[in-house]
Amino acid sequence: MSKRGLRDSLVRGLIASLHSTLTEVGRSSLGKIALALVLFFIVVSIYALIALPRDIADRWNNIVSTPWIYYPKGAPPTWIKYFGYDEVDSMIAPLQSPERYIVVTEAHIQSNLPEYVKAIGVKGLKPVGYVEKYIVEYEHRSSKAPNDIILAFEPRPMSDLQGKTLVNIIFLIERPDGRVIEVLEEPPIPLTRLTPESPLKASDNKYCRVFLSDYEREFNITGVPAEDLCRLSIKAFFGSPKVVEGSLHFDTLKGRYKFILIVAYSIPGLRPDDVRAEIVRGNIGFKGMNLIVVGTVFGLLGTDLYGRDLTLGILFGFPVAIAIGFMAAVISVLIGLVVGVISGYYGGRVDEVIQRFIDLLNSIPILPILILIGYIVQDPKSPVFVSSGWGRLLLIITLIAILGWGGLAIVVRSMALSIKSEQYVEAAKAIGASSTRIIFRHIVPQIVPYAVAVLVLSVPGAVLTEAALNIIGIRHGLPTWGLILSDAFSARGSAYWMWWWILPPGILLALLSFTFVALGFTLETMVEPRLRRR
Amino acid sequence: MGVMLVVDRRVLRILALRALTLSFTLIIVVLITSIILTGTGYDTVILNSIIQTEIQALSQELRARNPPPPPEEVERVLKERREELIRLYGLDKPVYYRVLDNFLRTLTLNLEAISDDVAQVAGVRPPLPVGHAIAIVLPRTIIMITIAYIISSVIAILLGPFIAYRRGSLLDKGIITYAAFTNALPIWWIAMISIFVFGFYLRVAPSSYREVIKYVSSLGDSLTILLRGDLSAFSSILVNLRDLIYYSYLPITVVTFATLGGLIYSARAVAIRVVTEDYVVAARAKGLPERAVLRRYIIRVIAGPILTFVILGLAFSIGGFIITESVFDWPGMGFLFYAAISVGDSPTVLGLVYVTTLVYVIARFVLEVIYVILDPRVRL
Repeated sequence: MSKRGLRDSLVRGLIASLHSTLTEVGRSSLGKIALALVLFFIVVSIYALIALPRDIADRWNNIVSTPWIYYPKGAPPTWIKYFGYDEVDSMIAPLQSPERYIVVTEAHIQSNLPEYVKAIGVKGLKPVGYVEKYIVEYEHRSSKAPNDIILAFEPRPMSDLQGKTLVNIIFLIERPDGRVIEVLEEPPIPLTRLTPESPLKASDNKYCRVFLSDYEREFNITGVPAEDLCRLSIKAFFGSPKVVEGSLHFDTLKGRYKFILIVAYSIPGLRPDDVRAEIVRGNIGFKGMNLIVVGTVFGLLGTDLYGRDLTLGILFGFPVAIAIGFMAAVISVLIGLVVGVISGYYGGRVDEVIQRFIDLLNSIPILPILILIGYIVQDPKSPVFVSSGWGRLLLIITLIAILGWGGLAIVVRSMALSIKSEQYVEAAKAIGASSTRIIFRHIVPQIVPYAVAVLVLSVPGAVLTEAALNIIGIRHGLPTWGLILSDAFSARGSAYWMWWWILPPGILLALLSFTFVALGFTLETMVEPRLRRR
Repeated sequence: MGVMLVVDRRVLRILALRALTLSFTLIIVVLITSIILTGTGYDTVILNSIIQTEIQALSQELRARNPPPPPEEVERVLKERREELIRLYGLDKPVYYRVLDNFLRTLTLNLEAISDDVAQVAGVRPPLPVGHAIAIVLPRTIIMITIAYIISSVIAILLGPFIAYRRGSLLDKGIITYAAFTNALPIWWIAMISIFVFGFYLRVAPSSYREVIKYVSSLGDSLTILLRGDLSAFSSILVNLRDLIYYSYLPITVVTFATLGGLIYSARAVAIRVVTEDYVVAARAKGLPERAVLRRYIIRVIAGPILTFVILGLAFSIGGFIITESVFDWPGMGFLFYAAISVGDSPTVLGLVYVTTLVYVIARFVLEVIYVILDPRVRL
């Protein structure tokens, strides 16, 4: 038979056995659950690969990057609200077109223009230039105040004119009780200094002076140090102060708030009308502006201590876990299969050497060696430093596989031995079949079902080992469940109450492990009697 | 019928061969570790930075002297000290020489920890011979992991055959589910959760376990005094024991909880294979009392396999659980290994790999001998 024919028959045999396997697995109830869970893992993995941004791994490792800096830190999942917890949702409001705009020159200000007061309309503030006014309506239903309010700006690409543009930013909150409090004011600064990475935060201490004067006039509170007010500024914006036994408290006001943002553009030497024209043409100004209410809860799975969205990290963990598990399992099963068949089929001295080698392999303390190598390749001082995280991950996977095929090889060997002495194999030999033909035609196809069961069973092992390595500091830079757990573990005391940080990754690891063990178990019980029959 | 041990030549030859291959295994494992550490040049980097730190400290000390020695003098002393250290650490020798040298010194445990962090885990001041460090941390691992493993093994041995008789019962199903459940959960994750829940939230257990150093060592001291015949140490032993229990009950419970399922499952599997054998059925059919069936036909047969996993598990437990000990911050063997690796203390790493593999290899050999005694077929 030609090589091609041999390969075809092998592939056909594989497909047929896969098909019969699947139908048989579906018959047992444990098998059904396992298949459904495998499907779940695969579907979520594919979704994660499609939906997640390409640079998620880099972002994840940089805790001061966007969007984490816009998110609440250590916030539980949003759905705890449905269990009776009174929490504040996070909200991102894009500011697209201004509510009002007006062109103001010094001369206008001098003459105290009525349209100006009407347009900007608050508190006699007098920004000069091309002035835009944005309003975001916000319904506050919680008796807690939000964690912060963030103004994030993304400037248009750099140009000569853009570099010269100055912006003056004023942010006010109109509260349900009718009071208007000026939260922050940035004097004219170069527009390019406002980047997504350096947003304006209402809680920033440097704006304290701005709001204090307003606030103290409105509420007339005495006997409380100004620092207390500054520290509690966000609570102050959303509540009415009261002094209880010398310390400051706030009753949060529920109801309709108006966030008012005033942005005044000016370019030295250019008339405000021309500045407006440039902005309308899209030459200068901002590509995007966002007003972010940083709540006390976030997303489906909350955030970690650094504000990272755990949903994204957990989601990215799916394909990585599946890849780690399958790669390690496939490599180790292939080695085990090949070595086992060779050992069993050829016997004699080859067999003896292989068996002694497997003995040795099984006595190697796997985890210590893995940790040792993991540390050595990630230490930048080391001569064998592997700088790429992917490279280190691949190395770990390969090592897990290389150290883990011994058990399978022993079983495969005994199977090959028994198949070798079957009459039809003897007959095939007698009519002059080559060893290759006997191995691929008679021996391998019978072992493959068992090998598949072992493959499925050994998927979780590699994933759990890899997660364990993460815990004690062996990193490769990809967000995995192990990495998330290891971050939680490093935070120790501050993380103990953050169940949403610790439970989901561990539960998913356990679920993955359960899934593949259940599937492998079903496959094995299915394969075993067939093996015994032979 | 007395068991007569006919130790003939053939048995001796089998055992000798096993001893030989097991020693070879031990040698290879240590050699691989030595190559990973020294052969890659990692060791050199670490030692050089240690020398650098020491030279810097010395130079500062010299310059702070009153009156300050002349600069040439300082240079000379520093150079001499550097050369001395290079010779001490063997950095003047070629790599293959150092790999072999480390290897040979490991076999005799003639090693000294080079990092202060390692000494800190042991809880003593440097200089610290590695053998000494291991002698200090081993009791801690035994207290946490070996004791837990013994508890699990005893429960498994008692319960395994018991549920093997009741296959398919509710208890059997419950135990299988439990085994599957703990098999799927990483033990260090259970450890994390339990520290968070019992240590931080409920506050019924310590949240930091490093303190255990104190109690283990003072318990050791009191025991030595007691052994010398001084009964007054008895009360201090009780006090130490109480503190030790406070520190160790959570780790022991976690390790027991995590290892129990798998052990019961193995014991059950071994027992089931035997209870379904024809000769057991026949023995029962001919009216032998259950007790006799159990003693004569079942226990004898399952003793071998059960001893295998119990002894290998005990040997394995001596090496400590690297991750779980790190999570508990429990300064045992596993944590010492972690500390040694994270600072690149290769003598300690080598010493630990050697000792844990040695224990494992000895356990394997003991099992071989036990097989010869238990299984007449080997002797035939």
